[in-house]
Amino acid sequence: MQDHTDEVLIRLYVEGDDNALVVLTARYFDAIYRYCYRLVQDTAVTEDVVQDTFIKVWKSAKTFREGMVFKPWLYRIAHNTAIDFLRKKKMITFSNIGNQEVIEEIFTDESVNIMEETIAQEEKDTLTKKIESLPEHYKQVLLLRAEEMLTLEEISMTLQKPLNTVKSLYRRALKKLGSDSNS
Amino acid sequence: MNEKPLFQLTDVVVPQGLLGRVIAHIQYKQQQSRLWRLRISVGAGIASVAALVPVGISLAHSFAVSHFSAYLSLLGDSAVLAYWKEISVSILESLPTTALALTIALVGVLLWSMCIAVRSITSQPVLQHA
Repeated sequence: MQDHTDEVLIRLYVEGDDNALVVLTARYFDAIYRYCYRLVQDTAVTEDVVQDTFIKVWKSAKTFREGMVFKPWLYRIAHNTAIDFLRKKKMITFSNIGNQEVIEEIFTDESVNIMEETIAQEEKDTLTKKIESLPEHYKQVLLLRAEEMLTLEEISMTLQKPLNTVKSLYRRALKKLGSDSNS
Repeated sequence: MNEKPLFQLTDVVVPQGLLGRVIAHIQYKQQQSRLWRLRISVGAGIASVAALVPVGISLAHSFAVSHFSAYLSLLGDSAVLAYWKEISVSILESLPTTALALTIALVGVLLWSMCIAVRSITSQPVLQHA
């Protein structure tokens, strides 16, 4: 069962194999915990968010359809659960979570790669603090891309934002990190 | 897709035992859900059996007072086979449709509730996590 893809496991669970859900939970548990912790910055809240996330996965497993991709679906649930917790605790305002207009800037892929390389050379602690202090909409895209290794298409599905918006947010996040490094 | 993260950030340590606790909580919720389904299905089953008794008696009475059995017995008579279309229509018209529909619906509810009850009883919670 460990060798099954995520989509096969969720299908097996829907067909009645409870163990499939356990395997899926174990597979993504650490990654979801890490992503949620980076968003909420509180261990106790992260535990609640992670628990709620996997309970929602269990409850909505039957809505997972053929052709859907499990990873962005799971991250979307985790993301929305974390944002709901943050809203309840009033840790973010509505405007902080990506309601602003995103102006598309012209970046080449090469310039994005250069930015990524420059930033990757930063010390771990310094880089972590900088990313955690970014505005929410930049931080979410950056964490999903850089640490959770989702593709930009998957991030678009996770955050329910158009692909061009995600690309723009990612580039602007890198630019902001890069400019913070220089200041 | 890259296996390595693009940036190295400080490690986030997952609390010891959290995975086990989350899985246990999900299993608890699954168990609660199964118990609820079992209660509802048993309740529906008992209600359908209780309703079937008077409905069944009413159905039997309706068949007795209708001419259904009389028309049905005519089918065995070779002399009237030439009028099989008219006899069939008479048979259908004499059926106590309301009582019959109600009986079929209640039997359906009973079978459904038995199905749900058996599924709730036989589905096993996972005892250990991967």
